[in-house]
Amino acid sequence: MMDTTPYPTTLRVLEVGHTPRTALCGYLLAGVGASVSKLVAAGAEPESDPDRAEWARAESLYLDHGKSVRTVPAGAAAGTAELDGVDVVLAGSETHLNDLLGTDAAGLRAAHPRLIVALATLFGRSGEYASYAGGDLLALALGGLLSMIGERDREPLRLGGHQAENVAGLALFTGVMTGLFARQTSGSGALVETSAVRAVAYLDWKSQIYYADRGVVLQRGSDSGPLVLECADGYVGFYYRDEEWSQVKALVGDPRLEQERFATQLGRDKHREELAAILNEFSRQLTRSELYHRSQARHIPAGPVLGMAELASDRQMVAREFFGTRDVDGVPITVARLPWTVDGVRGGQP
Amino acid sequence: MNGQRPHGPLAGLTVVDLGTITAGGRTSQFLADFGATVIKVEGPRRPDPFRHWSGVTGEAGAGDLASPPFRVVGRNKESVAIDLKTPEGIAVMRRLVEEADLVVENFRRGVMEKLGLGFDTLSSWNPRISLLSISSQGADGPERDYVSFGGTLEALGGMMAVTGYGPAEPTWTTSKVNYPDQAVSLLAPGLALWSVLVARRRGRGVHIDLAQRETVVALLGELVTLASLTGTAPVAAGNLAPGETGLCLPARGSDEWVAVSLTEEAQWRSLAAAAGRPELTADERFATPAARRAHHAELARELAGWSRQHDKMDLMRTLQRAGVPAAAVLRAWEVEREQESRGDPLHVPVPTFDGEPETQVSWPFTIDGDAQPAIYRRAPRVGEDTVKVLRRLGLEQDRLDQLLHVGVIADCTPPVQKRSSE
Repeated sequence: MMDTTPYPTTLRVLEVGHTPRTALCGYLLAGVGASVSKLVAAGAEPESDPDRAEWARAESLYLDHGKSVRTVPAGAAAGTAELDGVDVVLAGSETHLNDLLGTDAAGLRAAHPRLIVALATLFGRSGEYASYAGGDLLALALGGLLSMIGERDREPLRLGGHQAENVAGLALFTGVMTGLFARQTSGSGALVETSAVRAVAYLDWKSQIYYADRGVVLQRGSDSGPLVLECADGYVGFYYRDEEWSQVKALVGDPRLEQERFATQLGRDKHREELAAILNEFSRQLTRSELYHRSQARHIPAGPVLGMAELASDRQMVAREFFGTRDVDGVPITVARLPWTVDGVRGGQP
Repeated sequence: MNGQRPHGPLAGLTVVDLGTITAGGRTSQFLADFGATVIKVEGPRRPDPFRHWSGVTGEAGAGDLASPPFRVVGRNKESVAIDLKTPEGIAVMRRLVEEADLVVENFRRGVMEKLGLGFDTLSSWNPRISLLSISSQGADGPERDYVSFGGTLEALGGMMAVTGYGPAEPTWTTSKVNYPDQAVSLLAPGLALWSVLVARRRGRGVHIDLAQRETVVALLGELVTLASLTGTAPVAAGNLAPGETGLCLPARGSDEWVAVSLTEEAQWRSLAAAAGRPELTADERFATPAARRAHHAELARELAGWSRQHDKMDLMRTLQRAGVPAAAVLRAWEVEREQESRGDPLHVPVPTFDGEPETQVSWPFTIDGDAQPAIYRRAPRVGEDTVKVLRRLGLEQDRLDQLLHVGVIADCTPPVQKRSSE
């Protein structure tokens, strides 16, 4: 195997406290060869809700893998001795920095000029929202993405998992790399800062630019083009476009699709419900896998809706060795690995 | 503006950009915003399809700068038009690669090799070059050639199974958002920079194969682990989450909402009190967190009579003051206004072809210091910088004229429509 990790022993990352966003960033940094230590406060109240406790355990198993996790007494700041040799500090709030290191972001920057201080809050450090209570759902709302998901005549809908946290983690990862790149030439560290709200708004940039262009307000909802079709064993995202329509007709083989009202995309969108009824009549006779492969054979972009327990046995995932198995208390647990390969080599768990 | 060299945090980084549409285009746009020199290579007769994009509104507009999203992902870049299907075009490409740190591409798998631009070839031209390949399903595997868009990757990556009003209503973000493309565009620049740091350290670049489908799964990794741990796969449950009663309550006005997130008993009591409905706390349907989650639709209906009477911003502030996690559901233009008013601006003016600036979303994070991300120039027309960039690489005028004459390279392709609204 080629040496693809530039900092296996030299890039050191200190993750201060736990948030999903900083945990993801630390996980990705570990994935590119960084040595990641994580400080968490001891004595925190155990999660009382069993569902949340299970989720938190799963999250820790997934994102803390490969990190050196250490608990320190609550309120007893470990101090900046923790920072010896550290290149990057990750934190989800200044409270974590103060509680666990006894200093804030500005203090760290001043005392350690070569340090990359990477801060990802939920709602920002200043302004009205800084002190707000809440989590992922609220960050999706304030960042604009929540308004774009769901159906037009129903309430806005969150994405599964905690995607506001995740996009903040991704932004922080790229921010850290930007700081490290700049440090190569300047010799100086940096304060890199984002929030879940900011990262979400960055992600929903298309809504912004269509509105800025000429006041077009993009509305949530599947109101044109692609359809979600029902199969015998679940659902398939059927992403046909105008250029695939002839192939859709050939695939389905229903003479009703030749009707004038379905001849153009405009017509198909106008008669969307009738079209969906015909297509569903066809798709319900097939399994997801059958519809997927038959569609793809005609170059129609389609994909089966796969559940969390189905992903690991998917043939593409198996061929790509994307999942691994770890032993947790004597029980084999399925874990996702890093979503990239470097020179053909897959990194990350188990 | 034009001709000014970047001085941002990534100054000194040179990128050959074969990225198209969102995933590739927005990745390299980030690098350009932060100061990299990004040379976008397009076919003279087959430019980036994002320049003529109808996938969101159904209208493509006319002209190579008509597409609003292209004007975003094209900003700060130089455009060089080269016919890569000719040996002469590949020779020009070689000159670009020899002077670059990174190539970004998101072609369909196999296209790079077919063009004679596989990583081995690129490395033979410039051992320090790194290649970032972004694709739907990765560089290999039985489904690597399957066609995908963001929506299908949400299905294949598990996101649709856990997003929806219920398990029987899997929901995608649609082409208006295209979550997999956007998430990858946040991760990919970081990986690209890492690959360049690797190359500079060890003297040879790397090839990163980044799969969008796998990225979606990775962003649900804890749910995969949870399913494996518990034997129960999480499914779509509206705005509920484990241990959280999430609600979207209607506010005054059309399609106005406030999101509420209850994770503690005290928050529930405060919400009921704020709504003037303290009796709800004694209602068996809402007596416990599990009961509230089971009857969340009824709970939302009970509270809607109150919430509809109030502005969403007022609801948010009232509830937050009462200790209830709540946030107004903002639209993109409201986000812009809110960020501005809070002193955390997220938008920048960007010049357009007719000189009238438009507002665009800026950067995903801030960085301190003198070297800052910036807008250096508007998105280029097809081949707008061909001659300038190739001269910079040392191609003689005679050679340029010859290549232009036979159509291997091209400069601007008139006419252009200035804005899609015109």
